[in-house]
Amino acid sequence: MSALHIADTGLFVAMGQPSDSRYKAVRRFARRNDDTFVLLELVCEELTVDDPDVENPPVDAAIDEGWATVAAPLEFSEPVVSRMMDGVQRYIANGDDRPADAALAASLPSISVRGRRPRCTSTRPISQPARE
Amino acid sequence: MAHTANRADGDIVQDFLSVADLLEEPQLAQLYAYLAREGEATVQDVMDDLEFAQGTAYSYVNRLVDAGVVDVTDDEQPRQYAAREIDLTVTTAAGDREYTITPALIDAVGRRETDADIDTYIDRHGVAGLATALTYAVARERGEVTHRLMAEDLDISPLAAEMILQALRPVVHEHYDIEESGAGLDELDIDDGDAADDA
Repeated sequence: MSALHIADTGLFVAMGQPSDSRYKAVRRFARRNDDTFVLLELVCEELTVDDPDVENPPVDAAIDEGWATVAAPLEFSEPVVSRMMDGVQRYIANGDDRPADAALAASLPSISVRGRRPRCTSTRPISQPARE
Repeated sequence: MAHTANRADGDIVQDFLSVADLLEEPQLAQLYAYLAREGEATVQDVMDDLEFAQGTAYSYVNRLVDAGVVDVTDDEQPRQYAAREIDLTVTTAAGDREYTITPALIDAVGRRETDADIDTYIDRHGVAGLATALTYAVARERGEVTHRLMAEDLDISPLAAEMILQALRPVVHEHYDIEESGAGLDELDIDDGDAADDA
């Protein structure tokens, strides 16, 4: 059984471009273990942002190559999801002097789906990653 | 003001101008950071480790000595040079902002020669902006802040925040005693020899 990894923005920034050895190493790791890296929609949005000051990490290439995929948003109507989010919000508020709402908004992926790029929208639930 | 200026004031201004030179010229900053890291080094060491041409190495070392930020520690040939500690706090006239020029900041500026992300960030936000980013990088390595909080505070994209945080990470661990946490991509035990997977 293969593993499912949830990739944050930092992983794709650290990998560099497809010509970099770190990118190739992660791709090799995913292929050899038949693993998939799953990106939350917000992470995909962050990586594909239109910012002239930075070079976008190759998230499109990784998706095209089949070892990365975008997860569907979390269903907040599911009790386990809303309970988990409440717990995380309290945890952050306890460890940080920021207002709890601000801490949550800035620290966790947003649930907003407005204006998503088509590339960053998925219909797949997070529990069922794409398979080749 | 000129009537009340004394030698100590003059020294402080001279120190500030010397450090300002370092921040303006990344190769000087790179050399200062190298000497601070090595403790002592000869011009030959500088040529070998930083791949400076002989003329450049002598010229830069002499400029740092003249500026008073590097000392000759052994006058016997070959001469040994060492960096003097720099810690200069600059406060705006209104007193509402201050930032401290530390060896870590000079090191970060020196790396713009070899790091495109740091170079771009200084172009966009200046050395003062890099000083701010460095404080976030220290806080991030301590687990106190995320790239999203930094992006929100500084009104930059989360991607730009993550890129400069990662670029400054080696500087933070060079100058601050913070235990590295989490896994790095270098730990992926994947050899480069098998080209078949790269197709």
